Parts: sequence; C-alpha cells; structure tokens
Amino acid sequence: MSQPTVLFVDNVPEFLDTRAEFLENAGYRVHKAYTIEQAERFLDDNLVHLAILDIRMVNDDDDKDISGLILAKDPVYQPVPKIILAGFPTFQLVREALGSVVHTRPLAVDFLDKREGPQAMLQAVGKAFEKYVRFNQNLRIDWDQRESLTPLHLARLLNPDAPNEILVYRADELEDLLRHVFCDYQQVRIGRLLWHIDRRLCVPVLAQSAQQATDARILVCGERKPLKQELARMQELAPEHGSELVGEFETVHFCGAIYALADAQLESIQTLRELFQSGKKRPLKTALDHLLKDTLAAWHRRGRVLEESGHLMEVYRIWAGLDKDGMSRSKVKDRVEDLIQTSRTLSAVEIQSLDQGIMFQFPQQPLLSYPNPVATLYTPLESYAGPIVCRVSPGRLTPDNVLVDAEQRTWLTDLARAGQAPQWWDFVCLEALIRFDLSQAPDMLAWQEFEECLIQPNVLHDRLREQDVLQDLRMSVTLIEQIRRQAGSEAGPDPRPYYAGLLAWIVDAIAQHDPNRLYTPAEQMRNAHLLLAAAMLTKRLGQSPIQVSPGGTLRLDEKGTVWIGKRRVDELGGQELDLLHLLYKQQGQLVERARIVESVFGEPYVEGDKHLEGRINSLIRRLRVKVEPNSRRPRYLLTVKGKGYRLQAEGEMQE
Amino acid sequence: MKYLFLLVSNKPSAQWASILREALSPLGKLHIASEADALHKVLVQHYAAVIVDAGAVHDVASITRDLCQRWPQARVVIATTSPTWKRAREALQAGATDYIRKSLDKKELYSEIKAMLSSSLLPSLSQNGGNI
Repeated sequence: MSQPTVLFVDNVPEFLDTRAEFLENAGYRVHKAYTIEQAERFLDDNLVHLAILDIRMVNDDDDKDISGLILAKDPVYQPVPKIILAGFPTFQLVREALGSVVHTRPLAVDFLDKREGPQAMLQAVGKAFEKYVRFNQNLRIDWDQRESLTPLHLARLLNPDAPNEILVYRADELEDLLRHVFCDYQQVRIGRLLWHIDRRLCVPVLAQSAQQATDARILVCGERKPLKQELARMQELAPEHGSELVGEFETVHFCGAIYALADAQLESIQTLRELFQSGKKRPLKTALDHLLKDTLAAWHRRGRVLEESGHLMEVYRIWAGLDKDGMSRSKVKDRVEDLIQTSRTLSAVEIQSLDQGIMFQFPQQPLLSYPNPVATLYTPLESYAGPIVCRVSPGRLTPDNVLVDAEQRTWLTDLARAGQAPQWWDFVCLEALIRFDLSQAPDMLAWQEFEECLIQPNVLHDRLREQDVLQDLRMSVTLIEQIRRQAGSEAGPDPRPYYAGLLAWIVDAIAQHDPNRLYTPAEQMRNAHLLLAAAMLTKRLGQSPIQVSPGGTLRLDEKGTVWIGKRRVDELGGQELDLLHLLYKQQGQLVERARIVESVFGEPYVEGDKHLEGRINSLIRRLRVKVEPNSRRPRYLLTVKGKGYRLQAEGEMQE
Repeated sequence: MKYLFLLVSNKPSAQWASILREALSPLGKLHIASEADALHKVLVQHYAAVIVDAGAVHDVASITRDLCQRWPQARVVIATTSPTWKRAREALQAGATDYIRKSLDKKELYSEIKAMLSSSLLPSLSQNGGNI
C-alpha cells in the first residue's frame, strides 16, 4: 500500500530539510530535491502524489528566476498536483500559478508565501490531498489468482522496456491509479486479463462500496499520452449506447479509463476468440449478429464523409497502418520476400517468389502463379472508380478486443484507432480475424479450398459454397457470409472495394513478419495462408470487372424462366415464382396486397390480418433475396407504401 | 464571432463600466448587473466571461463561489484597482479564472479578455455559450 508521498523542491537545504521534517512527522513520505534536475528525476522515476515547488530554484535574488514555475508548467508532470512556494509573492505570480488552466485544472492547486510558516504549509498539503489527490489508501485490492495478476506484472506489460528497479515504482503507480479511480469504494476485485494490445490492457473489476453495493466495471489502462488521445477520440466519436465511460484518471506515466457495460455480468464476459473456440455455433452467430447490426451499426451511423483526396488503395494502406513512419513500399516488399523465404519449407506446398509475383506448387497440382500483391496494393484499383465513403469506425477489431456477454451482446473497449474509415473496413477486419486468427486447418490444401470458396462471389451477398471446404472450416464460412451480407447491406454489393480492404489487411499482417523470430509450425502455416490469400485476392482484383448490380433487365422467357441480364435465377420456389409472374404481367403497375393474397395464396384477403400481412412480407423478402442484387435496396421489386408492390423490369433505385 | 460579457457591479454608472464597454466592443456586447441580478442572469444566459468589479461588490470570494456554483463553466475574471497576492489567491481558489488589474487602458483590457477567450485550454464556447 503506497504512503502519501510529497516531492519537496527547494534550492535552500536548511529551509527544505526543516519543512520536510514537519511533513514527515505528519505522516507523509517526503522526497527532497534541491535542484530542478533532481526534481525531474524523481518525477520521472518515482511515485509522487503532490509536489511543492519553490519558484526561484536557481537564484533567490533574481526576480526573473521562475524556474520552479517552468517545471510546474511541464505537461509531462501535469497529473501531479502542485503547491507553489514563493519567498517574494506577487499577484502576477499567483495569477500565473492559480489562474492558468491546464486541461481541467489550474497549474497549481495552492500558493504559499514561505513566511506563512509550517502550519500553513501542512494545512495546504492536507487540503490538496483531500481535494486533488483523492486516493483511497485503505482500498482493499484483490487480484485474480488464476492468472497471477499483480501490479508488477501489469507494469511489465505496459512498460516492457523499463529496467526492473523502475518497474517497482511503476507498479506502485499503477496500484495508485486504482486507488484514485476507485477512491469511492472500499474494496475491488481485479479479474483476468481480457486483452493486452500495444501497451494497453483491459481487465474486469468488481467494486464494492461501503454500503455493500457492487458495481461491475471494465478498466482499460495504458501509457498516459496515447490513452488520453484514445479517450478524446472516444468522446468525440463513440455512439451513446455501448460501453459507457464512467471515470478516468491519469498519473505521470499511465492513464486509466473505467467503462460500465450496462447489465452485463462481468464474470461471464468472454472475448470473441474464446467464444469461437468454444465451438458453439448459435451463440457465435447471435453475437456476430449483435456486433454487426447493433454495436458496429451504431458507430457507422455516427457520420459519413466522402474521401476525396486519395484513391482507395491509398486510403486502405493508411487504415491498415502500412503508411506508418518507416514502413515504405520497398520495406513491405522485403517483408513479403522474407516471408516467402521462411515459408517455402512447409511440407504441403512450395512457395517461390517470381519476378512479378508468387508461385505456389501444391502436390499433384499444376503450378499456380499469381501477381505481386504489394504492387497491387500500391497501385490505384483501376476496376473500381466508385466513391470512397468513410464512416466512423471503432478502429481495429481483433478476436480479443471484442467482448461478449452471456446474452451474446457485444462490447468494444479498445478504441485506440477509432476514426473515419472506409465503410468496408470493420467488415474486412471481422472477416480477416475469422479467416486468419481464429480458423484452423490441417494443411495448406484445406486453406486453398477455403480461399477459393471465399473469392468466388461476384456480389457480396452471394451464398458461399461451404460444401466445398473442409468440415472444420464451414462455421467460418457461415460467419463470413453473415458479415458480407451486412457489409453488402450497408455499403453496397460490389465486392471489389471489400476484397481490396482484405488485401490491405493481409499485407499489413505480412509486413509485421519478423525474419529473426523463431516461428512455430502453426505460425508458419498462418504466414503461408496469408501469402496464399494475398496472392489469390490480387489475381481476383485483377480480373475483368466483376459484374454487379444493376445486372440488366429482369425478364421471363417463353418457358417462364426468370433472367436478370444474362443471369438465370434458378432458385425460386412455387409461391415466389407465382408472385413474380403476377408482378411481371403488370410490370410498372401497382399490384395490391389483396391481389397477391388472392392470386398467390389462393385465399380471401382480410384487411388488418397481421398473420396474413406477415406472410406477404416474408414472401416478398424471400423473393428479393433471390432476385435483387441487394435485397435491402431493391431495384426490381418496389414497394408502394401502404398499398402493394410493382415490378420495374429495367431496375430503378428506391430509397 | 461576437460574444456576450457580464459585468458584475453594484455601481453600474461608474466610469470604469463604460471604459470596459468600449474596450470590449470589438469583441461583443457588455451587460451590467448587480450581484443579485447577476446570479439570476447566469442561469438564463451564458456569457463568454463574467467580469467582477472587485471594488463594487460586497465580497469577491463569495460572489465568485456563488457564480461558479450556479454555472460551473463560468469564466469569472476579477478586476481590481489594488491587486494583492493574497486577494488573488483567495479569488482564484474561490473559482475565478483570472485576476486582473482594473486598467483604464482600453487596449490593455481588450488584450486581457481576448487572451483569456483565445486560450484553447478553457472550456470551449459550445452550444452558443457566450455567443450572440
């Protein structure tokens, strides 16, 4: 348990030592600094709750010396409350110390004349602790036993490069952060580590107040500056429903944010990865449905902009993180080459780099050669000239940062990369994490079949032929189909920008390959899978433009077969076909609901019969799924609100 | 953008009030109210700044606390002819944003208030808070 700690900074040792003794007798731990440099070292390496700073730290006789005030202004130390001490106070100094506003509080919390004496100083320190330091020294903190979570362990996760002697202080600082954030509670229980990404981590916390009320919370903490930026982005972009930010606190090195997940039972919270690995298909589909139609849809509704400054591949590269400092095109190309070299020894396939592409040799199969995915990623996609619509995205979805509760509701707590992303991006991430992070296959042949299945569709909502893939991968295919349906509904049926996004995601994953690292066989297989998928997608994108909606005129031939352009629509059942025929005979004209019931169902129409209305709606919906390029935006089977439907054979957009 | 300011003074006809009005005219309009009226006014109108004439109110710290309690986002500026560090401390700890000398120089007054408004670190003037 950390003791209230004060850093006392004064260049006059007799004064400092005497006053420090008063503070120590009052129960404070006091670090003494006689120079600015010493003070900075203490602040950088130690846990300090309050700093007392003399203004003239260089020359007491120089009224221009405000070195202590300058230290107080350093934004690095902004989280530490300060008391300014002056031997020669003026109202201008007070104004600067107490009137300046940094973030949400002034530069200092109090200002003292040295001549006011030690009691005034003790009183000011006491008030500062009560009002500004506000940490609960008596908070009982229980740590999860299963994972042996401790403050030191968490400090190591957040500061992997820090030397051991510094880590001890960082651990104290983290524990302190908990005492601040939960200062109104009497006991907290820290649960298991849910995710740890980029020096940030997430744990569930059960907090109990003195009145025995318990609150379930999610704590995200990390390095101070990036997490503060994440919180600022979150407050600007996040939808109202979803994870609610209920508290935040910062120390010199860390920031912690507390989220409430309304009605979620934290002990049953699991990650998407854990749910997938449980193998329970229905909960997984339900959770994915919630994620797509509820959680993500709320983000996407937050705003929509047209990206006009770059081409699609460029925008994707930025979003995938490929245009970061130091990651040039040639470096990406080198990483791909490195990966090819390390993957070539996999038993089921031989992979080679060609001048302009990659070659795969599967046993007893002809040689497969593909264009270079890197070249494609760095070239404008000629086959797609449509607008680049961007929507608000929570950032990078991973199997671990999507949380699922017992009712399959989904929660997002990692918003480090939230922003305006190409509208396909969240769907691309979800598909990619299923495809490459969660799915398992025994060999590259299985992956080849899997990838072949996934790159077939000409429109996003096309059914995928899961019967062509290994049994173990069929659930993944079903989930990907679910994702693509929603993507098509929100972003349109054209798969090209979607495939382009997948390519960007994959190449970014490849670019993270470390040639000096020792990879396990499973990791090598994943790397080879990434290469294969990138290569196949590149070829797919280079094929002649994929025909998408409108697809041409809807017509019935003399045999009654339904065609849309050159595409024959085969899958229509009895009533679906009857309805289509009815509408076709009166194409362009209103066909009332009553007429549909009488002609197609062969029943009398009863107005207001909800069951009957539901049957009509269901039939129309089924027909649209089979006929329309995008059933949510029908072009041929149009609704005449409150009356019925009409068929427009040439296709027209209906809002 | 034009702002609304409020001068809290129990002596509305004092010379300084008109100097202040002129000084702030490029920035916007100045309302004047007594202590009691000011506490009501801040509930119905948000001002870009509430300037308290220290010499024309009963108790600076008390009126500052009351203003901040009624409107936590208030930017209260204390203007005084005789600034002292102790009174500055008291006013700023009561919640005032700034403590300035009650200058007769319009340029100086304008600069002080403009600098405070321009500070990006203060709560933003959102939702028409303080704008005409």
